[in-house]
Amino acid sequence: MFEILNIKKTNKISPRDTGSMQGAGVELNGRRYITHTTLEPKNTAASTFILWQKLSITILILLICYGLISKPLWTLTIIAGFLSFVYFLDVLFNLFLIIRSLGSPPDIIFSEDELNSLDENKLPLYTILCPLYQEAKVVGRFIQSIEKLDWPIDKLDVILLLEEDDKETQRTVYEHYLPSYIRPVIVPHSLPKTKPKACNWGLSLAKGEFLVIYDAEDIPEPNQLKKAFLGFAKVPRNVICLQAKLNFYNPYQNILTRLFTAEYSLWFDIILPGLQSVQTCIPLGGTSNHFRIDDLLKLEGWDAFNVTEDADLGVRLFRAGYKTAIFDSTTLEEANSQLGNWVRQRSRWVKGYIQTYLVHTRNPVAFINQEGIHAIFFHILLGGRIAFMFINPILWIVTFSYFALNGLVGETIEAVYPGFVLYIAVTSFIVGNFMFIYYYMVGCAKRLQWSIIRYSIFVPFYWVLISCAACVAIYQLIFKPHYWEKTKHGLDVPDSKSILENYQEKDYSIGTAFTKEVVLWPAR
Amino acid sequence: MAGQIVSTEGSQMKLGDIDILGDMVLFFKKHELLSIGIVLSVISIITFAFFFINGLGLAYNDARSHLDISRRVVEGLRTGLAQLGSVWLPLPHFLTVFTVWNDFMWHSGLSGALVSMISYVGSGIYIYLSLKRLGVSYLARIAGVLAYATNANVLYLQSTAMTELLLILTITAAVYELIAWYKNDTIWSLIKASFWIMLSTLTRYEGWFLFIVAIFVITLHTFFTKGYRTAEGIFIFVASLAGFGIALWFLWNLLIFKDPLYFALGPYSAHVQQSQIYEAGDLATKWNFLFSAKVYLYGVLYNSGVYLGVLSVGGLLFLLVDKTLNKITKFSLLSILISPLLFNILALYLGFSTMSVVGLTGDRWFNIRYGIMMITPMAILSGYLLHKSSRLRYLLFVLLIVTTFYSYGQGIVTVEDAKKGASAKNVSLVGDWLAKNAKNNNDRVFVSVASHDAIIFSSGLRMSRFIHEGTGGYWESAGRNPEVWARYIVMRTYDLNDSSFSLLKDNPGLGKYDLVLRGEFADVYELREEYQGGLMRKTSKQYTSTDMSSADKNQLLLGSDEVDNKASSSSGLLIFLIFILSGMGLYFLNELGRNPIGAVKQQKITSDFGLSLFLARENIKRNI
Repeated sequence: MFEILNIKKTNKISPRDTGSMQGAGVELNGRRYITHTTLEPKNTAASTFILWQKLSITILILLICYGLISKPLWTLTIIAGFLSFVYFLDVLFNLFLIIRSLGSPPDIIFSEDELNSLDENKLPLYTILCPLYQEAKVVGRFIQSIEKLDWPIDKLDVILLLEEDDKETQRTVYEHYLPSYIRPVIVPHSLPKTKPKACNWGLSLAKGEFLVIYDAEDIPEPNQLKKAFLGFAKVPRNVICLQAKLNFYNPYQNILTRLFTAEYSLWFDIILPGLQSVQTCIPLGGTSNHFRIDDLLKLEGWDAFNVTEDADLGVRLFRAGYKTAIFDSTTLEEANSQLGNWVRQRSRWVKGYIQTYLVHTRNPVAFINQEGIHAIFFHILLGGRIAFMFINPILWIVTFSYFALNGLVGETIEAVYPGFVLYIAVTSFIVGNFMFIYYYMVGCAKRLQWSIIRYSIFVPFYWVLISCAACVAIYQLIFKPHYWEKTKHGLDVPDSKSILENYQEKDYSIGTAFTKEVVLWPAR
Repeated sequence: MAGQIVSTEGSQMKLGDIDILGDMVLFFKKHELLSIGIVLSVISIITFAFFFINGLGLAYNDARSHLDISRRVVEGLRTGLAQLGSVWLPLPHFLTVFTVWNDFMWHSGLSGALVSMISYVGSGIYIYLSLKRLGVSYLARIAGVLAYATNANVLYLQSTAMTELLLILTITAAVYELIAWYKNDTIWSLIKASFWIMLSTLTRYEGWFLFIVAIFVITLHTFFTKGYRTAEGIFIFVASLAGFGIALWFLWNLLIFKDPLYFALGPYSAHVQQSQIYEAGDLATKWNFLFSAKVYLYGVLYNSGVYLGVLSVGGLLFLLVDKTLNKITKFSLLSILISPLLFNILALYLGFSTMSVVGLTGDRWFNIRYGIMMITPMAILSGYLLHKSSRLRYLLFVLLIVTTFYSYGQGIVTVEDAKKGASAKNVSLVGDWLAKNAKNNNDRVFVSVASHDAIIFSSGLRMSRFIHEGTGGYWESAGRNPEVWARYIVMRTYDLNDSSFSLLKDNPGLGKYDLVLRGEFADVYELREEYQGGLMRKTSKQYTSTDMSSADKNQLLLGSDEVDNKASSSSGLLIFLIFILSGMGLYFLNELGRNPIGAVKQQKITSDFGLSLFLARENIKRNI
């Protein structure tokens, strides 16, 4: 715990060759980290907290403790009032995004004619990066789904990024028949051992004009590359990233995958387009982000220290004056179906979001001056979201205690919530919670996942899981901030051939009104 | 020459080189909703002014009660949202709260009328949009809007603080969004429809019936078009949002009145009132379906006119044979459109509601305004008929205008109900007495709002002068010692349904009052002069311990002052300790988790303990 007060000394390590970022890195307190990016350490999550953040948090904690001892009622009232207000703001902000997203859908859509009119001879070289670490089980399926992509094979440059110490995946890859456009590449071992570090290595080897990241378990829509190419032609030049929507091919496996699917549907089909509609920063999804390689190089790739490098990149490109747009194409992934695996994965995401938040609020005054209202959106979207993962359980306990133990704590709780604060708190609790549950239903409805809607009633339990994962995240953030909690894939995967055969692109979205839900998992 | 009409050839009216009529039509087509909104707003304001000047804006006692309920939220001995009460649904009062704090807005009725006026304009726009969605011509759309907007009863009700117009808006908007959903099948239209249905359930109980009907037809429609699985999902999706208002209302009653069915079965509920009316033999429609239907249909026709009724029936028939809409869509649309009709007939039949039509049930009007609920479906169906009757449409349109103007001279039935019907309990005698005799002092009046809200309004006194059921400790204290708390008592003597009488009837303190006014609906008692020196004249927070016992003071306080600070302090200390210990524990575990043997070497722990921890750690790892 006392290490967080230490100031880390950083030195940059130059790349091996000029014109490339290979070999670049940073030295932190005598330890070498080869990140393959020339990002300034102060703009990365190399250090979790900088000095003023550490001091601020410490002072805040001490102030709260002092207040709780000397003037407990006032302190609790202020805290309760502040939390209630922020929660209420979050409810309104999400409602605003949903109305924008549904009322005037901004995601880029494509007609069949547009897609058919593309001259394949004029299509550019497209690089696909696929970081693989302990993914022996799903490599075969990934290769099959890449083969299904509707893009001239002579214009494809697929790089499988293999870790030096991952012999099993290497063996599986080399045993597999690889088409000419797929090349495995070994990422030299270095710390931090993260996906963004591997992607940076891959970026330095990319040959294409465009680039996309796919995870090992991904099944992208076959015409996604064409849609992305058309999308780049449609958007203004300052839109340098196109994010496809993510969803799952096994939504009905169990209740966890159902709730996970509802969450993803809400996030990618409703919230992200809502953010796009207000032209604010969009935390990218982990995969299916499409870039022009030149733009990505200008941004110096990914932050190798951030375990949600995608979210960080989304914010970074926005702060550099660029934008992200959502386009109407979907990549299907595997929804985590095992609880422990899910908690680990979610803890990494929460940790990464906290890292992203801390990195981009290192100079809060400059942030607000530069971004204005978007800085507020950022704080609500990331900061608020993270904060309430921790605060929600406390508020639920307080509410439960008020009713169940009214004789003991009722009066005290009532004193903490005077008049106006009480109204906001009660509104946030009753109306806010209902609305958040309803938003999950909206996400499912948008995706035509009607049979998942009935499970929305279990969303509060899902939130409890998220809070548990957040506790793990905060622990890791303090004690092992760059540790990459690897998600296991291929859990209870059915026959891969049946998955791909079922994936009919014509049955997929037309405009923003889905005509048929794509479900590859047989059981409902 | 500028300013003169140059020619009127054909259908053009020119002013110089400007085609006035053509430009107007062009402007309208480009900004149709704005144009309708402006026109309806102007009509709304003029009409309000007309009825206000003629003293009719507050003719309904219910209107005064609605205003008082909103006022009590912001001003009174005990304020807060709990003053919204239970029997009447809260939305109209909640919307009025934003302006009722102003004395003029309160006493003029404008605060409540504003909600009705905005609803009036909104409903007109939605009728237009609904007809547009159904594909009818411009003329037919205008006819539909006119049928609604020029209706005298609509114009009167929109000038008052009554709740009918708000319900009409919510139902009309829901109908429009459902029509949109049937046409475009987007979830956004479905969400909006659900939202409006939810608002209707918070406005009047007709909304609850609309909720049931809407859920049924939407689910049925989906079942036949998309199968069971989608129907199930859509049912939950729509019912969640649309029914949220109902759930909130039950929760509200549970939290405030400790009984989720307080609104239905409590002492001030419609059920109790209807039971009293039934016992008095005045509920002629109960258990008589045909008579209930007859009474309600008469009510509809008295409100909307026979001509509009005929047009609506014609429109209904055309809709039934329309081949562009499938059967399920037609059934769904019509069910929702006529849901107010079904609700009101059922309510009359089951005795939940009462309505009196002159010549049918007696010689007085009562609740005749309920018939106005059908104005929206009738306007839409009439517009539809005009569209379908290609050759006769202009004739029908002209007849509509003529009959509308004719109806203005025949009397406005809702005004008659307000002025002379059973809705117009004349409380001005008592109200005026209070206004005259109580205005020069600040002494309190003990009165039941459930029975005499209109008197409170008519008196013109500030709400904080009144001790009523919603003032909590004041009401209870005054019920025990009225001579200490209230100089005046307003109650209907010997009527046990009046809460103030039933509370005070055996109280010896009542002997210290003189009857100073016997009114038709209530009596006024005033504390004799020799006892007035003992009156409590301060508010609860102004009292010191010498003024009253702590028991009485605690009765008045809302619970916010009496907090055990010691308990709070110890809670704070406990939280602090937990935090410190957790932090130390985490650090310790982290160190040991990394290297318990290292911790031993650094003499952080004993070797035995370190070894035990190491073994435990390995054990746990293996098990996970």
